[in-house]
Amino acid sequence: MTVDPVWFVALSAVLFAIGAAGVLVRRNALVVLLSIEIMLNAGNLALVGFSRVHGAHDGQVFAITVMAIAASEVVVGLGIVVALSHMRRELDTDELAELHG
Amino acid sequence: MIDVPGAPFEVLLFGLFALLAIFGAIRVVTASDPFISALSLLFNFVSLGVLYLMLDQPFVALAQILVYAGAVVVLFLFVIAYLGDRRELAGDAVRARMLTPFAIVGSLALGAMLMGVIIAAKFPSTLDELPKTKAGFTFGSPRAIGEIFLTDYVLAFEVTSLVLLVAVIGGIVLGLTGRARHDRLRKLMQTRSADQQKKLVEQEERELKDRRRAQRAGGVTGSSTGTTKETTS
Repeated sequence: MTVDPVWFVALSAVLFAIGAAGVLVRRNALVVLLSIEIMLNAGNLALVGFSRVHGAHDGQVFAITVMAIAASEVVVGLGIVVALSHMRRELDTDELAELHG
Repeated sequence: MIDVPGAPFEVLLFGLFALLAIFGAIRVVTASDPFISALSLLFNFVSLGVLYLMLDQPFVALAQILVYAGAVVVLFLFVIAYLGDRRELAGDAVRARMLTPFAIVGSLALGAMLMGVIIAAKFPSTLDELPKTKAGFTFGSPRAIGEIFLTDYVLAFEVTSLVLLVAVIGGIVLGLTGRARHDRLRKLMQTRSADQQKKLVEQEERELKDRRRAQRAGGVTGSSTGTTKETTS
């Protein structure tokens, strides 16, 4: 390993911040879901990096579990998007405010 | 602390794919067309897969390519293609509101905070010789992952399969709920004459409009009708 793992963790921090910016700034529900995927992947990169540092498999097991959860999240998220489009609603996160307290 | 790394090839490889990953992520957030966003995400996922390979974890890299690049992105592309040419999908890239600068500053602050912690932290030195599992499988191989999943993490494994099952059921239920109205309309169309069909569609449209208007009048703030946007931005 010639690349210090700290660089992998730093990259994961950068990607996480970009994903967070996407979730906060964009108003299209689809792009918000894509940004959440970026954030999940950033978390995965940190897990996998630390797993290599310690030579332990726990991080990898966690990363694969996160992938399964992310896949479930995409199914449910896109299901909601398609259901909304059937009801001819706009996919605008500002418009979809029924649950707003 | 961050040391300047030595050996050039791996460092070059890391730099290249790290830049590609960041580039892809930035394109996802900035592209006004969701289709371009999804393709940029593919870029990001594949770069991360290469980085996982560099970290001696071939199985996670393979799962990354199969699950994310192969399934998640394709699902996104299918949905974007299915929704089709909807005006509100493109354009309107960034929330035209007073809160946008705060959101950008907030995420920059989050990034700076994470970087600060990483620079300040003392990382343990990386193992040069990777340990084998109890059954003697090499680090990161599918066999090793399988062994760990079926011994130490068998509960997590089972719970994950349950979560996937729930997600499948949820996806089906959501799809059926969304279709209900669509199907009702189509059934009505089949049984009426052309004149009546037109009337039914008009009535349906009017109902939808009324419902929306009532919703907006009922104190939904921050709606993006043309007039309110001009005043807030």
